[in-house]
Amino acid sequence: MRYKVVLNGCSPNFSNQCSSVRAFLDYTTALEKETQTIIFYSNPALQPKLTALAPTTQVHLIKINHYEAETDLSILTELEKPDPADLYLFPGDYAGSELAVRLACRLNGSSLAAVDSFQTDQDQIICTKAVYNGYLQGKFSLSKRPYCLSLARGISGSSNNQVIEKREILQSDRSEAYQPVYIKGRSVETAESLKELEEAKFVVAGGRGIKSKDNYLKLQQNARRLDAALGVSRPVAMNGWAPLNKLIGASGIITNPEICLAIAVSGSPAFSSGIEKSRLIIAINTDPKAAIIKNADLAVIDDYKAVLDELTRLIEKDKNR
Amino acid sequence: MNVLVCFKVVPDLDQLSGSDWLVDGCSRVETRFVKKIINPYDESALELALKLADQARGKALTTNLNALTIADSGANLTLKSLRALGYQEAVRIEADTEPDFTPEKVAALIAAYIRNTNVFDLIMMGRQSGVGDNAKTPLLTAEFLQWPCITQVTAVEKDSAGTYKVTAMADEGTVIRVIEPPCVLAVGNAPSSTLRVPTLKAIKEQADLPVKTYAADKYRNATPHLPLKPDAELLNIEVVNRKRKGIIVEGADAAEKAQILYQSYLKGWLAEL
Amino acid sequence: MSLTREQIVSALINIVGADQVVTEEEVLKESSVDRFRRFEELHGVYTQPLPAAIVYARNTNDVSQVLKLANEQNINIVPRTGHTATEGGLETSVENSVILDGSAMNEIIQIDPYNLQATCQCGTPLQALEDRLREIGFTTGHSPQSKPLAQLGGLVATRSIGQFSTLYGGIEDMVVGLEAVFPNGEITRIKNVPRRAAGPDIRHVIIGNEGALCFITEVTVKIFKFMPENNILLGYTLDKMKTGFEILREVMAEGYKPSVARLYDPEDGAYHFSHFADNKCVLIFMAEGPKAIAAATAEAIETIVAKHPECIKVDTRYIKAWFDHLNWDATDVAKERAEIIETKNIGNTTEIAANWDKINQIYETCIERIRNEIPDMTLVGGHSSHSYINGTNLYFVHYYNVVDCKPEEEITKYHWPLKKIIVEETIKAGGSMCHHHGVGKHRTPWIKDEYGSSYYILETLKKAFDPEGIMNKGTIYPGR
Repeated sequence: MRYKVVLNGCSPNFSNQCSSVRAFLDYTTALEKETQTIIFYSNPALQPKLTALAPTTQVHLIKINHYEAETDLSILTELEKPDPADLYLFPGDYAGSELAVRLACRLNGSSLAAVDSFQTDQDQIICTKAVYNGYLQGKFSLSKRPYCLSLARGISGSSNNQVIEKREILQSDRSEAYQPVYIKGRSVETAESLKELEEAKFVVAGGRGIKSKDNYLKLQQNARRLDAALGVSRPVAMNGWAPLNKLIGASGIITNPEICLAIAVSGSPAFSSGIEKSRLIIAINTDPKAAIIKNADLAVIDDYKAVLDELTRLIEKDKNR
Repeated sequence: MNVLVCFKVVPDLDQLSGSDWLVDGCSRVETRFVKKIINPYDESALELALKLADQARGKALTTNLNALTIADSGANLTLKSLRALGYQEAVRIEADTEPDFTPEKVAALIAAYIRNTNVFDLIMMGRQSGVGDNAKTPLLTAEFLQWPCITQVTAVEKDSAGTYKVTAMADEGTVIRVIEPPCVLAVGNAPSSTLRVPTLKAIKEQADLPVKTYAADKYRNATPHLPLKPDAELLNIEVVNRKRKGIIVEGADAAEKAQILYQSYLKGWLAEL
Repeated sequence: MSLTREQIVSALINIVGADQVVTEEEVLKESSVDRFRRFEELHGVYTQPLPAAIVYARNTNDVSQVLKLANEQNINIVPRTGHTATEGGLETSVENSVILDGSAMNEIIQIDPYNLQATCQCGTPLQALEDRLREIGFTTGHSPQSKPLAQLGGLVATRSIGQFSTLYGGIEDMVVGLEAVFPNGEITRIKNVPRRAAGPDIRHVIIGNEGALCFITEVTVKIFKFMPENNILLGYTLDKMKTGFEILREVMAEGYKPSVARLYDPEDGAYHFSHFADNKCVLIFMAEGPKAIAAATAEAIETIVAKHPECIKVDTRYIKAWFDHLNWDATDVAKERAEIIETKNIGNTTEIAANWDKINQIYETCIERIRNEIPDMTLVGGHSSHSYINGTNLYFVHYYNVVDCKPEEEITKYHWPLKKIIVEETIKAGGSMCHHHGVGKHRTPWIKDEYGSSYYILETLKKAFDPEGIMNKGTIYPGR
């Protein structure tokens, strides 16, 4: 099968994109001449880094002005005819999630978004992904090529960490390529990097039970004292108590810490999928029946403020010894 | 300015208790008996459209808000409620089968409706909905219409008579685009987008006006390639098991619980970090 | 001369120790109100006087000493346990009040399966007692919507009632003995006996006193065998509330006691049952108890309902899903807060009771008047959920958009006028203006109308037990 991996080199999360694709592709496939990584980028200075992190031997670097879906789609469509692929693999970030589906449509293939795993099987591929708000896992079969898949958020792992020595690099400059005409003006506000939360070893997650923006700010101070990264469940972000980029869960960040302290979170599947990779989950909640309790290793049933204050005091005391 | 918001009424899955998730070897969960809600991302889209209309009014521009759902008569109450909130039209296309796990079919019907009515310049809908969670419908709709699509939209405003200012989350940060319609907007995690509540008076005025319903057949021939089967066929479903030990740390009061938690468990873990 | 805040706090610390006295401003603000004023509270507006402190009593002796101090120094005491009150009963109506909180007294003292009694301290959460009982096959039979959060002291002080009352009764039918402390510090204990006729039933001085006469420190309740396997759930849709009331009456009059007997009007019903009841009333019954009794009760209900052709039976799976999520836990409360702030839409309830021959008329008149007289209403409806041989309750539900008014004006613009309509129509028809939430501070203007000449008895209780007027000023008895 000819695979094409498509990555967005204009995004600050490029290394995450690479590691998630690596975890997905096995090593042999990555080495095959059959597999190519297409990297759209805008900053030439980043070329070496992009190439070094790419998950396959064959790399096609394409220069564009900035990421816009319509731009990438028109270039990918153009590249398909002379060099058709059986499977397009996109990471699970925002760009990947939209490109996979739209590309399949243009190439008359089939698509599936937020895929957790896949297997090839003669004339079809079998994929799994979360359905029913994350309560269940669904198994799907796709049979129309090219298959265009975007991965689930937060796939990571050590299945493919080998350094790729020799690269075959192709370069294209498509800065003049299709500029979406419908956009009359465009500005970007760069957000605080997500890396801190995505890569943190100790995560504190605040849920709806913290009750107010003031309490979120206080929680922020606690997290700092604990040297932990702070994230929130969807209701907290949606209430405007915390910035959207702190959202942990299926529609936000998937964390992968050693320790996660889930504070006043009820624990819906959509949220739990954002912390389930934690090695240790501790829940603090006043409700012994909250779903999070059964999905945690340890739980304290009490008001979080008092528990957290004492915990912070104890941890700081030992740190300062 | 004519805006169409597409929405889906879904079962409130949080209301299902453990035993209700019967999934041995089946590919559907019985959700008939559970309360229905507007899919939260679609609810955001509906409220963002109302906010857009408010904002446009402030600039002396009028917006015609329209709502569409592909559903059976169970959606009528919601449609009337939307009219009571100021949606000029709230219509449905009769669903002949369960619209879950068939985003291609749903998008094709929506696209056909839009082409057929030929008045809309902005289409808004939530990025995905629970049950299927396909996250494909808005994207496919844009492709079938050959219109651009902006995803993860968190806000939309009138910029000038002919343009909109759309705020969206992107991998690089927040992107604000000034755009010329037509365009499809896929709404993501938009803060402060709980749907407002219509007054009884407004509901009463809408109560007797019937809900315009269209047969899916009307659009079957209009769609260029109405897919006969979905891209991805659902084979089966399984429960996701996230259960852990759930050991409760007991103590006389909050401080003591924290102490036990720390001394007996957390201290060791933190030392290894 | 009244004491200053600092002097009050000092005196309290002297009695219970500094650990049991809270003076953090945020907590004090939060403690100056209950659910009645949640709209202003959500907006960070606190209109009630800031209390001087919250005292967490460790035991009955603490309660006695604090009350004695308050009695001597004219300090207003607001008794509290679960903080789930809805009628303003927990509002601090005067400066430098002290919240006397019993939630630290949360021990389940004894469960006696032979005598079928359970004894708890006032701060025991009902859910905790219920969970413990269920482990050994028993139940309290008491299931108010606040069960996950409410505690025994407050549940008795407000004469609360639960979802299964039509079989088990209200709290007054469940209470056996009590311990309560009076303003002069007197600790009184009423023993556990099945019944006695040794003078008037003095438990009723305590049950329902809403903290205006004494502080409840210990409660003994009856317990019942838990046999959920025998439960039979029945649900119907029908066209008219009047028919629904007729059916409820007949079920009671014929001698049957389903644990659940609920009648929802189309508006209130739409909120819960729109997925199967389109503009219809909904009738729900649960037959509970020993197998033969549950079966006979269910059969009788089916027969009675069958006499009314407008009733259509509903698949109980629809009702079960709803029933399993009826109670209000901390998550629901938090979710509601966020929605209120965003949509400026808020809902309240007013619960009344009347005899069978008046109930439908009260229902229709109130709904009509509210629709015509109160602006910005988004939902007005109601349901009956507690039936008796001689009548039933009505739980009015009223939601409105708060338009063009400051948070602290919401009550004046909408809530008081709503209550006024319902209270006045109910009293006019001879019913009671408070079925189970208590008078609190906001139905006091009508307390004399509610009692008529019997107000003499109610009034004299206050004069006798709280002559200095230190217990929860403004609750039940008007004037601050």
